[in-house]
Amino acid sequence: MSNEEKRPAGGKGSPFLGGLLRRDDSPTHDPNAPESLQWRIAVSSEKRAHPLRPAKKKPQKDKRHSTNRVAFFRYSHYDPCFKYFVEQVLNAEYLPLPPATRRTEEVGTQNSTDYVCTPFKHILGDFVDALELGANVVVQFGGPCRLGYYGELQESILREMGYDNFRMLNFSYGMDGNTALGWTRECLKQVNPDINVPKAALKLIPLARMVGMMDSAYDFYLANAGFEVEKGAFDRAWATYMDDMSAVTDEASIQEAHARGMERMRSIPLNKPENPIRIGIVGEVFTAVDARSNLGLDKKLLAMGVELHRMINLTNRFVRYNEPNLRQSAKDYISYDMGPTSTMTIVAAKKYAEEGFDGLVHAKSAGCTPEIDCEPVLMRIAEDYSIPILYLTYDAQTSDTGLDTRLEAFYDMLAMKKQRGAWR
Amino acid sequence: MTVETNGEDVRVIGIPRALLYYRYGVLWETFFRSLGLEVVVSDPTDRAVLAAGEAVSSDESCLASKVFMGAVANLIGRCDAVFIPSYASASPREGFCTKYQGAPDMAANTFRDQKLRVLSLLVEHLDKPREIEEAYIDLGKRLGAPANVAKRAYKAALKAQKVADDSRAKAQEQLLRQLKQQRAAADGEAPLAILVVAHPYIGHDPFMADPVLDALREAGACIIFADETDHGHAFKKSFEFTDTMPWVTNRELIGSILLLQDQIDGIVLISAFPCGPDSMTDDAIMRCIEGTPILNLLIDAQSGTAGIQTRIESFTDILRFHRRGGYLHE
Amino acid sequence: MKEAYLGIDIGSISTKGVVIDEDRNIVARSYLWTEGNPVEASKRVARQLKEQLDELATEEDGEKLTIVGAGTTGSARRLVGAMLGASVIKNEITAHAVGTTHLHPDVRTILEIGGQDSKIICVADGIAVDYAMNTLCAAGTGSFLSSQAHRLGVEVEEFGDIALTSKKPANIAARCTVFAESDLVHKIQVGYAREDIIAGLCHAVASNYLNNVGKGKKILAPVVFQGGVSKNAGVVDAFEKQLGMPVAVDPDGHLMGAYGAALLAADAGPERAAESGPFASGEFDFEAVQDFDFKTREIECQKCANHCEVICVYRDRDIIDSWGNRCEKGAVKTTA
Repeated sequence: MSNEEKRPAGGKGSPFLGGLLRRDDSPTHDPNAPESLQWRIAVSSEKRAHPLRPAKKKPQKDKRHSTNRVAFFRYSHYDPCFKYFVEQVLNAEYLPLPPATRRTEEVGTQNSTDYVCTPFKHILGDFVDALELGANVVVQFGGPCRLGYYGELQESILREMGYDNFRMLNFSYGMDGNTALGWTRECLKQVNPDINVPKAALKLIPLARMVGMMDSAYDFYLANAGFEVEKGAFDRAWATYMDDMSAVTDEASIQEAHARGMERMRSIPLNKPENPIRIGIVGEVFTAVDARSNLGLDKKLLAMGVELHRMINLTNRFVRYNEPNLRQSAKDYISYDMGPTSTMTIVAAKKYAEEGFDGLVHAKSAGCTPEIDCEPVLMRIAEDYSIPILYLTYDAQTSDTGLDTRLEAFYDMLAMKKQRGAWR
Repeated sequence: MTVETNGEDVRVIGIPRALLYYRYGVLWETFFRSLGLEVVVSDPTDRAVLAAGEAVSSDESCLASKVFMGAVANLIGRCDAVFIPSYASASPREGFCTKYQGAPDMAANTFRDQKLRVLSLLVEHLDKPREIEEAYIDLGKRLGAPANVAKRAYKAALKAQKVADDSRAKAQEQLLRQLKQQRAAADGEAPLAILVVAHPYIGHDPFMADPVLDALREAGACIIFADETDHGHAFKKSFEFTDTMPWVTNRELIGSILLLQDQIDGIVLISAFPCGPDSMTDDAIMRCIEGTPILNLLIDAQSGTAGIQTRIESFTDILRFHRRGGYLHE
Repeated sequence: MKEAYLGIDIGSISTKGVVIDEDRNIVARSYLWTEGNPVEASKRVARQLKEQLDELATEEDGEKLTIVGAGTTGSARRLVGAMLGASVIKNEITAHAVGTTHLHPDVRTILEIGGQDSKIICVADGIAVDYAMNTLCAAGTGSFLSSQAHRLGVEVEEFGDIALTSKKPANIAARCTVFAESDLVHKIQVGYAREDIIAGLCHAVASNYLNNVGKGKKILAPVVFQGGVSKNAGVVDAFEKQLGMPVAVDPDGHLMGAYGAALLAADAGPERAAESGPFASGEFDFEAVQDFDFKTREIECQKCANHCEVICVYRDRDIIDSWGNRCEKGAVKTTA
């Protein structure tokens, strides 16, 4: 931790913030950005004003503000959205997490049962990091599979590990009656009793738009970053975009930051063939989406020069999700909803196959029952459309090398198929 | 081939002896028989059934799922259609493993080349009896029965299931009373009361559970099944243990532990590897149930029973010495 | 002088090498245990190949073959590729597909069980169209069989012949190494005949493979089975019984990865740009490979919280390659 002394602002001498350099392989981080930029997200909860605009006047002290430090788990590119939710909706302090370390993973794995799904282990490790960094509230989602029980079990494990001074905002609570009311009650109870509820509710609309914009920006990245002329251009643009999005405070600044980011990405010179190799990523909402969980699947594939598509993201799965409508397009294969992300996995696979994609990658956590149960359906789609599918199962021990071999071989196969026998 | 909606021509309906059959088997058989259909239940699980299931299942799916697929395969050619309902989890505290939700489509896609006909129905809210009744009546109509006949069939089926459940719960109460008397009379030499905590499709499937149950009986234990405790009562009790647990069967098992804990000597948890709900529930039980020794057994394709025997023997030994208060007689 | 190409496949258990001539025929072959030391194993393979080439050159109308390019594959492909100055470093799936389809143009399914990995490759019109690799567990691979052979006190090479003598193969659960081992120990203790246990193991390897790697893949004839385990007649027999179709095993089947690597190197053409290393003179220098000292060191990069393990390959004192860093901060400059 040789950097400790250089970074006093957010650190307060804590060992974690000492090592706060960004992990440069994730799309959020720009290795070439000035150092000050690299840790700005981490300290921006303390400088609350928009960093790109000078502070107009001293903001009035907000009596409804809570000094609770709230942390989420690490999840793909959604950190700015979590931050917005905490600062604007809950009106509390947001505690951003530095990139996960090997210890994060070890702690998470050691304190979970062996055959629980992998996201549980990652998130448990994240919460340990958050609590050691001084969070006093951690946030957990709910869901119709094992996810629904994550929060309660993790809370009990954390308390048993000796972390006692925290609350959990667990969205598995508050679901017994009217869910909107129940969740509001949980927010008031666990984070900030003084939230101005109608005002906060209105702030959810720009939040939903923000999620949508970030997802569409990432879709653009996935489709094009594989063809950049100058290596690293997209990652730099993306890191700047993430920084800008982390500083937004309202609808106008969201729009502005998004437009700026898209402009930056659109202006990157591309060398894209007319008929590039197109790969669709399908799978479970954590593993198929989160770079840390899938060992940088997107980047590894993009580095081979392919176009990527991925239907599953927060926008399509939560904000705009209409399961029965979606299922209609795969009614030749399925009659019922088969699980939390199953319909999307199947519908996306069928859509990509119909559109003539070269291959599909199905990514899931080890033991993910609903995604395992999708596999017979995916096999039928692969059969009917003659599209190869690479099935990837991730557990906490999955190795980078093994993944590289599989992806390289998959790419070779698709490339050779595309230009039959050209190697001979 | 997807799940079929129409089944007017179906005369013989097949039911896989797996998963929810162990919870709703009486209801299903009574329902279809009352509609005038012939019912074929797949053969009891044996090595061949499991092997057939393994051959068509993802290697990563759980043992119970493989047995289920084997049971479906066992019905091919023996019936006009196989009944596989979809039980989903729209009620947040009374849900099921997603396996039950996806089962009909999983089976239909797996056996597409064999032209398997699947008949199904959807139950989303277990806490809305009206919705369930309508789903069954609708199925009856799709099988060609008039609405009133279908309704009568469902009522009869529901009643038969309740009678069966109640009689099991009564028998358990009686067994516990008997044990209590024996214990009072025998001065520490009464049989060990072991609560077997397992999903009914594990605990009552002879192929999966017998190695464990036989070892327990050989060690002189009296077995009490947690899933036979009155469901409603156990379900309510489970809220003392967990607020957010989503699975109704796991809740009933936990409720049973809480209700019976002071009447038993030890608990044996049996889980099929790698059961999703049990991966978390077993952890919670081992962590939070105090004062009663617990043995947690994971079972995979049954072949190695030696390990199970050793573990059961040493566990019952511990319970005996525990009861006696030391290894040697004073 | 005729041009030739070298292909080496460095697996976790064994290291294989071939030399192919201009007509893509294998003219020299070598197959040795890796013994946990891929560098040493590759040197020994190179030595054996050199001896065979020298012998060829002294034969009647023998001509001197000059190696002008090399390809590597297998789990240590990167390390040995750096050491040999290979022009092609390919993953083993592609290398196997290339090698096998060249030798068997009509093949539809390639089954492959190696030391740690097993894979299936589906082929249509001479190119791979689908493949799968074992997911989580090493049950049923070569290293698993070796360790079980050791437990039974039998050489793994004898396994196949012993298995064929069994009349009633034992039923062994091989879903997972741990379960399989406990099952096996139990069967031994209970007193099953050794040949029945061994035959049972061979059957378990085949059924485990079909249930795991081969799941959902249409296995069409002609089927070619290769990799170290294909030398085991018991497993071949089990595959034929379970698939109900003939399974071909090529005498050079264990060399297909190396062969594919050599073919790809030949396709890439002669190595001309090398400034240092074995190809510095444009011709592969066997002596240079033997004389240099190759070492790998693992460095834990301290430049960020990731603490990547960076692997550096040294030729004597020069760093010739490095990998494992997730970002530029961990990049190590080569010094040769």
